[in-house]
Amino acid sequence: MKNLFFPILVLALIISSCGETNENNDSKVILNFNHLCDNATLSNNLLSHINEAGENYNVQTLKYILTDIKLISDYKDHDAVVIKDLHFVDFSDPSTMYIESEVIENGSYTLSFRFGLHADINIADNYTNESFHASMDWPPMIDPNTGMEMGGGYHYMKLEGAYINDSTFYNTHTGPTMGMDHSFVVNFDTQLNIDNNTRNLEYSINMNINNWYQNPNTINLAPMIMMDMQKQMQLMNNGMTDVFTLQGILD
Amino acid sequence: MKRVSLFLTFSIIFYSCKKDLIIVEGCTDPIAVNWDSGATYENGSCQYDSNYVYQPTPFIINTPYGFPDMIIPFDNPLTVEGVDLGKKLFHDPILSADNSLSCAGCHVQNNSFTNNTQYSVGIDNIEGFRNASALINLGWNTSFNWDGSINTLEEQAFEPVINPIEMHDTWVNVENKLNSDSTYLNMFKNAFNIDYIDSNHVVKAIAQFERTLISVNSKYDKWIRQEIQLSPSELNGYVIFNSEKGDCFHCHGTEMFMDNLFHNNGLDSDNFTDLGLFNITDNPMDIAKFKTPTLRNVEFTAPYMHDGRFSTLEEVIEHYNSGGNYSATVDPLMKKIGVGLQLTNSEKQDLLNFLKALSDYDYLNNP
Repeated sequence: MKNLFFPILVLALIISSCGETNENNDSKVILNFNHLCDNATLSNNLLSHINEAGENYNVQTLKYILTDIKLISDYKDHDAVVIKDLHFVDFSDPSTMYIESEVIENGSYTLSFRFGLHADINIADNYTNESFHASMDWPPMIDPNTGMEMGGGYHYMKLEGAYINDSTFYNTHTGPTMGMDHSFVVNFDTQLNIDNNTRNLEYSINMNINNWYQNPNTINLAPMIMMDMQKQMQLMNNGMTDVFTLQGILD
Repeated sequence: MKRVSLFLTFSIIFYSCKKDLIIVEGCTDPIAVNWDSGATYENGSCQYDSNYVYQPTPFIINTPYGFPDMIIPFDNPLTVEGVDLGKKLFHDPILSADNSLSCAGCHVQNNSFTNNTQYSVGIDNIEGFRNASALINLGWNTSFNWDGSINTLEEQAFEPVINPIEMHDTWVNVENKLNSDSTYLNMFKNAFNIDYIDSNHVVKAIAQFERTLISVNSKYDKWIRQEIQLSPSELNGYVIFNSEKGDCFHCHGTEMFMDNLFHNNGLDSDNFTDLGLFNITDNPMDIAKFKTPTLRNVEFTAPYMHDGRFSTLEEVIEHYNSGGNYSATVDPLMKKIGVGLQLTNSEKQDLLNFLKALSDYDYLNNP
């Protein structure tokens, strides 16, 4: 019996240590934000992009807010893993084009986020210390002439540039027009599988600018988009359809 | 004989030096209970109150409604003593080479800490080339100067003292002047616990004072606090300001009435005389972009724009109403170049009335 004690102990320790290694993966999910007009990179000077309505345009400003960026487990009883509650993307600031999760437990997940801010949190001066506070602010206001609520909180997106010619500009601003919540949730079908053999999973969230203006609604840049309730609704529907895609990046 | 000559020579030199250098022995430490303000030589006689502890009083900034937390460097917390000292330095011409010009000489409180000239004039009667900025709510700015060349208030305060077209002094000279002033020695000791005044602590004190220049008591603020009502014209101006009709809020938004960003607002076509932000970044996309100023107290800060080209607010409104000029970097927010907002005279007046509702009269007079 004594002769068997030590071999059994050593074997138990080996098995035990192997088990610990298997459970101890350090995989993270890395998300890059990528912006295209169909397959072209964004141009900020030449009017090289053309939308479904036949308008040539360029992109000079692109800023937007994503919220509730999370991984939803296939196991229904598991809580979602929040990657980031609030993320501001500014095309002119490379540091905003990338986020990384904490270590993710083994499992199978799908990715989800909300474009913009839900009405419950889109409150004026709710984020005074966030970097987007000044540039995305949308003052709350009751039109004294109509009694109608206008804005209040923060823009979801500012997409600006020139169209028709160099000196005519469009401003595609989305947000709580007339106090309505036009934010929407994007769910990707792609399965993100993490197991003991997984290194970091890196994905690109692609925004196709042209798709804001097509499918199912063709939207003209002219004459204006802000404060136009119908166009805000159309942008919301277009955004939910195919503006965003998820693409894996092989390392 | 030679030895006698040598002795006599040294004696004469020593005697003459002694005559020029009047040495007054005594205690030179301002914190000592027996400090002698006339003493020039520390003779070790200082006696201290054993209860004295360097313990400046924290100066608390109450963040106004809708403002972010103020940006305060960890190595320069606000204290009552530091702010008082900064205020004295701000108003003291001792910082200029000929002791004729203080910070307040160009940043006049009655004009919301700017002046009403297009360009300021330095001690050598040389005119600057940009309009002096109004100093309001500076603690919430992320960069300073029209071209954003400076990132902190401390850094900014270094500049005018040695600028040849402003105070045209040297920091060595300023330090010498301050260190020979017993009142300053005492105040710096109390504010920073230092015995020798250096430029780093001078700019720290000035920055502390500047962070206390807070204006949030305009008619607009009182309306937001539901203390008073705006007039119908001011209310209509508010709607114009915050809607696409006037489209002011995209750059002059939030309770700060500025976005901490840089824009080319269509003042000129190409061939600029001042390249603005480009001078700092070297990025062609930044040509002719300038920092958005706050519109608080704008009624008192004429003339307007980085070069003070507009004498009145009416001219400013007319610039946007007619659409400005095209150049390669003009901001897309200037949506209709050459066309503009097309406000009616009545709407322009309403907008003007709202801008005047941003005036904080207390700010012009408070101590």
